[in-house]
Amino acid sequence: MTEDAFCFLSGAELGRRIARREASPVEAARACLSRVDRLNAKLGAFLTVTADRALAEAATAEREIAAGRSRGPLHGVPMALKDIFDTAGVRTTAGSKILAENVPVRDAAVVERLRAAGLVLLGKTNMHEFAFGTTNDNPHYGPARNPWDLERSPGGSSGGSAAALAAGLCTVSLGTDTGGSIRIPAGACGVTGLKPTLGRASRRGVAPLAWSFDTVGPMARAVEDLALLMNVIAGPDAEDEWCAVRPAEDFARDLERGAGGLTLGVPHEWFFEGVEPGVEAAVREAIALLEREGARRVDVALPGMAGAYTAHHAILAAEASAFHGPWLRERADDYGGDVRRGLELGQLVAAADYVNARRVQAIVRATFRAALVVADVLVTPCLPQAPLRVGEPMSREPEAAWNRLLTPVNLAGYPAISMPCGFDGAGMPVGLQIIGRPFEEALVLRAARACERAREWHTRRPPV
Amino acid sequence: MTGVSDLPEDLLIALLRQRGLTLDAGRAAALRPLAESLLGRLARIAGTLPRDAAPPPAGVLEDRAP
Repeated sequence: MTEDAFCFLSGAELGRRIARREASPVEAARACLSRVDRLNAKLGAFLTVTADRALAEAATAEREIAAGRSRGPLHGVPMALKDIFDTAGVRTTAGSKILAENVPVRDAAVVERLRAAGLVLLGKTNMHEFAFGTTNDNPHYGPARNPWDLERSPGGSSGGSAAALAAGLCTVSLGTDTGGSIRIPAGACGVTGLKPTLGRASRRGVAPLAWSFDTVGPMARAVEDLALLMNVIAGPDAEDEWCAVRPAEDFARDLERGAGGLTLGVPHEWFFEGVEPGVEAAVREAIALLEREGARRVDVALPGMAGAYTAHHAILAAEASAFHGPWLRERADDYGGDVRRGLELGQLVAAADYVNARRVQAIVRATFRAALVVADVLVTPCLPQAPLRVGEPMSREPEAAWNRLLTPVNLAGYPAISMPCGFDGAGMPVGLQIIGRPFEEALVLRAARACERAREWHTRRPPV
Repeated sequence: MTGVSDLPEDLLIALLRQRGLTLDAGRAAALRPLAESLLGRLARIAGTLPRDAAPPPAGVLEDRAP
């Protein structure tokens, strides 16, 4: 098998070949590491590469599988982790200067689970500083770049993971989503990413941004991989009180059931306003495709989304500023300009503002709940426009921000996926957002898989 | 800050100094439009919230751990 063939297989398919002894974990890790060697200087996707350790872990996986001791369907599959997850013995910077020398002594809970499932860690990926931003223009380690156009941002904050996936530098990854930080880069880079229900996976050992929204989720090139990763990372954690007590479930159980019988809710306000024509066309075509596959479409009302954007911003800024307060007082110059400004802004949000934002949260949650009574899932664009240019700042105004279609979902705490659904006129990927009811990730994944298998946009490769 | 939609830069500097932060004039000028926009929008929201609107219950979603 050629290097590229290894590097662009889905995790599920690579895992099946490894289990059948048709592929070797060591060869798979070597192939990805070779692409990292060749492409990372261009892409800035990885902050730390753990090559020796990866090859040792892959060799262990190979021996275990040869001895009949499989750890599951992703045993031996190469992964990259956003540099926000604690990794024992491996530097974990959160994309910051402040944590530049931080070497945790214990893995984050989700990393423990991934290791137990036999995945092989290739390294840690670039991110927006402290996950507080959407462009991945990192002033300390350099920007990550979009493999579809190196002059454009891959999105953020999990931008290194998305760039690495799109360019075949890793097979699967993990990100975090507080205000779109999984879905933005997934949409910008043409990969898939799932923000699960708030509390689905443990956040122990993950640097916080805003406790009310921080969510750990999988990123990959194929929907099936998201389901398999959810099977590994989801579930209760006694060390994280925000973690849901629901037992584990099989998120892949309904993947191939298709779109037949599903009701798609399409919002007739906000989510299609000000969206670039090329983006809207691709998303409308994806909706039509799901209808042809047997889904029924209904228009739904989702009023109040501009207020939702503002409430989310206020809560996020206030909570982030509370967490960063001590560093902000003592090491303000060690922050990048945009992050420092955002944290200073959070200091100005008064207690009454914060409470009012939480009151908006309750209203927005009721709005989504009502829409998802008449629909099984909601379908919208992910990003309203093509990815920003590297260095181009993101607007924070509700009508112009490029994460404005995403943060209302964070405010509600509901699950949502971004998956590729085509390309715009400039050849940049377009992302489709599918939103589900709390704890119904399996249904979201089913709808996404129905779309994926009908058009296979996810198999396109960028020109790097 | 609820209700404030015009924030002179010296006021921003003073407010942040109260919180132990140092803000020079340049940074205050950069912060000012962001603060006016966000706090202004929050003030407008406060004026439109139904009186019976309460924050969501602690624990957030229905089956969160206690």
